[in-house]
Amino acid sequence: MAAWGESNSRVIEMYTRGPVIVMELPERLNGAEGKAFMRDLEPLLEVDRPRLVLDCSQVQYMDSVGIEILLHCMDEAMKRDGDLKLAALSPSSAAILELMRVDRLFEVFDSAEEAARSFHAIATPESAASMPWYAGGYRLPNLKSAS
Amino acid sequence: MGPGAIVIIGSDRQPFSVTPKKASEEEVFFSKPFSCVDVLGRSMVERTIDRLLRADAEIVSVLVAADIAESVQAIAGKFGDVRFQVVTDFCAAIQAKLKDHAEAGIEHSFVVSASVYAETDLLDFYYFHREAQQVATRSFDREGPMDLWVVSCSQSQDGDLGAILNAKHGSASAYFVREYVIRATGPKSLRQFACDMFQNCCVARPSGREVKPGIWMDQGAEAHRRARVVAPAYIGRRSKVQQDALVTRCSNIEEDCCVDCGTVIENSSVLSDTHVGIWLDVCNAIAEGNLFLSLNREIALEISDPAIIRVNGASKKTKGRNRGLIQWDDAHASVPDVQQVVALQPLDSKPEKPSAPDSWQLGANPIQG
Repeated sequence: MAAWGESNSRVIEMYTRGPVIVMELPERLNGAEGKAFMRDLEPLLEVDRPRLVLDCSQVQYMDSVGIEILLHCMDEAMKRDGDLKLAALSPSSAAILELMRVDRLFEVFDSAEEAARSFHAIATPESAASMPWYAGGYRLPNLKSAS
Repeated sequence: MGPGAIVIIGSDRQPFSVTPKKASEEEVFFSKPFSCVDVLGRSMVERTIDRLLRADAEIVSVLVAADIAESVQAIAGKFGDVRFQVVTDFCAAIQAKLKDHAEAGIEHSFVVSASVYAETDLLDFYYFHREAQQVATRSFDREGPMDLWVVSCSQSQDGDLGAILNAKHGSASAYFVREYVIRATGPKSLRQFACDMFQNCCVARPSGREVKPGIWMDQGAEAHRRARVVAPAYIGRRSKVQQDALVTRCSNIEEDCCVDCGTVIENSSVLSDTHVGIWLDVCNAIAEGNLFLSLNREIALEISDPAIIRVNGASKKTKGRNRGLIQWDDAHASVPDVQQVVALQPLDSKPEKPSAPDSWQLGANPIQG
């Protein structure tokens, strides 16, 4: 685990697990704190296929600017064929995302570990059943056992 | 001479009850007690008073806890013949009232807490008590004892009233209520009551007019022709549902509310004087002023962003004062905040923007039954 950025006497903890970057959101996700947070986050979004997990366990306070930041990060990550996932949302943050219809845009996990693992799960080789019919590993389903 | 009646309205902080309550039931959520919150046009206490008047109660007296007196004023104005009195000591006040009733020639009186709404046959209960020949007869239902008694006015003056009312089941005969009962113990009970009324689980009906099967609209309620109201649903007095909004699944919008464009109200209650902003998803929740209760997650949020939810129109300042909040600073108007209810935020005092009152056509409303 390595300390990544420091702004306004606030240390944002960040650590990487393979290609996935886990970043802890500040306690207050509002206009002022959000700008500082974005300054730290932007370089990470400019890489190819950014894989980000935002750990929301410390978030005590969130306003619409905070939600806008989350949406902006998501947008930037998607533009570069990456993804952004949220982890450890408090019930109040989850309720507000739900109220503002933003919850359905993000994948939310109970912990950062779980969110990071979900990226690796995508990277595993595809199983034969999910492959197209013309691929080498494709097999016809066993009709007898299916019936 | 017929029976008398004493209705007791305790605050949620200090409810009148001789039954021990769980700690979670004593939390304070709204600016008034649950029993005084309008559900489908009328509060539980109004419905209880109505039932007592229909049971030919000679005198109906309402005793109100001092800290909630202001919020009960509106209810007091609706009943001309009912005497409302602000008290600090409920037991002493009940005893004094029973004495008054005895002096007026009333032999037996109902004593009922406003936090219990029971659709029992009150006259049957009254005759049961008379035949039992005891000082007080308590009612109970499947869930246990209820704060609804019939008390002999003159005999109750002899002993300690608290002990008489709290007599253990078995020491005196009790009256079993088989009909519909609901206890106003928390926000969930308000939702439960609304759903029960919609689903005809009780005799109580929504106020207003059933414009389509399962859709109730009260006086002055308006739904934009592009709004969708799907049964069962209730729109209260002078409330507005703006275009593209959806009200569905046993949702109730109480009086003087506004559901703004594109917002979905599903299985939720929007309590009186609440403005719900645009493009929101209010699902399994209760909104009152700037307070948002998510029943799924069991959390309460105080939202200080007036664009999301806020106190509606004229009653704005009054509500803010009731909650002891300070005025909203214009400088913060563009920085909406969301915070847990434990830390109260400055409240809005911004003049309300008029909310698209263009093309209201109640008659041509495509309400879906």
